[in-house]
Amino acid sequence: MEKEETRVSLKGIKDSFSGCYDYTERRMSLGGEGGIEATVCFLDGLVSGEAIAREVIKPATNETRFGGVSLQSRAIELFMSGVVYSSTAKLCTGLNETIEYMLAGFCAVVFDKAGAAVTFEVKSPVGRAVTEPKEEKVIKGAKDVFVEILKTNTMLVRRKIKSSSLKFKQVYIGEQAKTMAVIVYMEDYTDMDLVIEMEKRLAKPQTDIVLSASSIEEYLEDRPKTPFPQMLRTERPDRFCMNILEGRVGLIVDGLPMGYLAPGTFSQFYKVPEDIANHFVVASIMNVMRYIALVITVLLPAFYVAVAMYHQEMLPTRLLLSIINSRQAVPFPAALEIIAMLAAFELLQEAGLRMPSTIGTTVSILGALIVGQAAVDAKVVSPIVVIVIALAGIAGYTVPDQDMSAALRVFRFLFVLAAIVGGLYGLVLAGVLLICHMCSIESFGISYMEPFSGDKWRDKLRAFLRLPVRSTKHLKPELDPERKEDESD
Amino acid sequence: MTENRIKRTAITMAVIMTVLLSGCSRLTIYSNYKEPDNIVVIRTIGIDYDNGKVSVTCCTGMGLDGEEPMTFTARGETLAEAVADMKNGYMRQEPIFSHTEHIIIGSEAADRGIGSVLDYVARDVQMRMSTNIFILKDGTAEEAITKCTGKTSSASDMLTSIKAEAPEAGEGYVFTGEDIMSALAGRGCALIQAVSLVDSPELSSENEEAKALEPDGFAVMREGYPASYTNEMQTVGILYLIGEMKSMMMDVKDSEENTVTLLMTREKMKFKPLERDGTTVGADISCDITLNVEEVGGPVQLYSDEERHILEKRCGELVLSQITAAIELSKSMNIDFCGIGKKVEQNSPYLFREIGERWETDYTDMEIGVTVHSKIERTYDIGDNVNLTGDGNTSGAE
Repeated sequence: MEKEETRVSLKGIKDSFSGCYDYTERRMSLGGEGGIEATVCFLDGLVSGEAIAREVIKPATNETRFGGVSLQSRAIELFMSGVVYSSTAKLCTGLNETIEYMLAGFCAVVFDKAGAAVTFEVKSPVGRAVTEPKEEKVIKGAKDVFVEILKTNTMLVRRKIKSSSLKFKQVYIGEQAKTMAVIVYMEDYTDMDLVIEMEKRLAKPQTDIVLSASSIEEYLEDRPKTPFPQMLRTERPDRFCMNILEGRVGLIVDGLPMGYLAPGTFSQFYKVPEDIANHFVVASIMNVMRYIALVITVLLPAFYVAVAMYHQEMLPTRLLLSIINSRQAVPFPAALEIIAMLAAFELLQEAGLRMPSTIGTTVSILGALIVGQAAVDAKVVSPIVVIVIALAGIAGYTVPDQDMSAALRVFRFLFVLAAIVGGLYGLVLAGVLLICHMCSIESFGISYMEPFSGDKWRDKLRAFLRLPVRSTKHLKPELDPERKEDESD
Repeated sequence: MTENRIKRTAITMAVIMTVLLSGCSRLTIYSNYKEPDNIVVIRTIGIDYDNGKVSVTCCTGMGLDGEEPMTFTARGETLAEAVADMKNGYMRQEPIFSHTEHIIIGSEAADRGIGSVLDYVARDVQMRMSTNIFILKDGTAEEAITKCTGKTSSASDMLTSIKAEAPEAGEGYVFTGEDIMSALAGRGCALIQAVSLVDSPELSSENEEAKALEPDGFAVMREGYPASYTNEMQTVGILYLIGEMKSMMMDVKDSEENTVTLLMTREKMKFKPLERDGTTVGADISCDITLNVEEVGGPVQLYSDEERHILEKRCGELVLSQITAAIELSKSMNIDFCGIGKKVEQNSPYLFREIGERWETDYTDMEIGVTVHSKIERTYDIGDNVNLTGDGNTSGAE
């Protein structure tokens, strides 16, 4: 038998928030002295005291509005009909419901005898302002960024897509905290199966509260064990909207300054918002260069190891002599050199992330001096290895997505190990296994390797080239629900 | 669940087997593992025949930072055995032959036939088919390599220079192992660049016995054995016929017997069947050369058509004599080592069919006509009334 929900009462609210220093009560008489008693309950810090005073208490204590009202039910009717200035008014009869609203930044006017409360949204404006993006910088393009407040984020999206078919479907995540999130999609052409699937996956998390991205990502991804990201995460509203218009489903979570997009495909992580801002020829060339950089960052250290240790005949004579010269007196084998330098590079990178900016410069100088100059002078490493690792590292920074960049760094190590064991044979074998693995990943039913795995050459070219805007449809073929129906037929 | 377990088991077994298949203590699956600082790059190999054994002398060439070249010698019953002896022998580092640019064969080893050398180059996994082959006209390859190698010089660098400069100077053309093998396989004959050891005044300052290698014509190989060596005229003629004459300086006399130096800038050879009374009787070779005047030794009237025609005619005669000398040598040996027949066949396969068989067997009796047309394209004449001789006389148009 279901337990009947407890009716709202002042005592119930007080008991629920006992021990909470931010819980505040304010008794008032509606219509002035002698009027019906009501109590405004709120959590200080979450709400704006000024807004409560101006929008709730002031009109409520006005004799003109509430003078002569003797019944709490009548007072509640007046509250719901707009006598009080607040833009939102919700009638709550249950204690839990009232507490949820209070935790969401509402104040509750409790009518104890009636066993009801009317909640008004009076959220505190305290929160981070919309600033410039830190991770996804562009030269040409909008410079606003998502913040921690859900309403601000939805406002940013709504400003860019001024269409009534843009839908925000509210969901709650987590058993205890019930973090609010919205699923964003275009009703006209987004595949509703994606929306349903997203909702289903959001019902899974058993986490009490969503404070970090990983709390939710692992529940949404099809293959959480692979290092490859399967959902695009962006801090930029313009990039978010661009993907929504392509037919993807978005997710914005209250408290996280980012938007998620599904399904995520490999090529999507290599597109930047600046591509659409630049000329299509320039954007295409830059895109191709990013893919070349991908090959360099993953394969160059392994290729050097394979060629230097096993396949010296592949190198031009002068280059081979140069490598031999540079390795004279280096005490470590080539394999150990590469692994040590890769590890040093990763350490430098981690240190750079954690260091306060005031001493970040010092770390850079130390890194360059110690790892670069001093190590080479002391013949601990050869200069050619420093160059190889530096090139691979720089190429890695061209990856637009940080999650993808991190995944590629993992595979860089694996490729080096494969090259150490098997030379070029090992490298190619590792490459084949990686491609097989990537082809086996799906994200919300779409192959991770789209559009490379598509049938048409034009679709494959889309991954590399930015076609002129006039000749492209926004909706991506792999996300077109009509195409899915044709294929299933 | 079962599927996953099977997958995991299969992957684990594959990894273990891959590692175990290596048979190597270094946990690698390749036996080709070499540390870069433990290898020495051999750039030139010299091959000799010495008292019933094959002697191999290797040279590394000058290092990038001017390091002295190193030379090593090993002996064995066969070439492969000698090389293996070198690899397994006393050397601290492992020699690799994948960057060997030149092979120089001593005269005695060449006389015994180069078949085994070419066979080794073709079969060995490290050796490249694009290795340049040289024959030393006189002496041993070991002597050539050791005497040409000093603190600031090496046989490798000398041979590299010969490869680059010989065609420009009309002194030869360096063929690779691939060229020689395909020529021997196709025509039964081939040309190999011949070199000679000469005294080197520049190098003798550091070592009295130091010598240098210079190009010295071609060695004509028949069935892998040297049949003849070419002289200077024949060498130049061969370069024309094989189409490897890049540019060449020629000294001719004008009507006043002043020496004029002409630079041949372009040459175009055409090979056609020679027909008489509707029957193909041989080959007709025409050579068109373009010349620039480089230097005049006296008051040459270059603006005069007649004078230019004299120079062109004499140049043409010189080239004709060179080409004819080469053809005569090939006919005397009954070997078409310049591939004239092949070029005629490429031009006119149907007409050549009439004499195709005879060309192989009775090459000596084939009629080969040669015509040379030469034209002075530029004189770089600087104009009238300019005294070029310094004797006070004016030259130029009157």
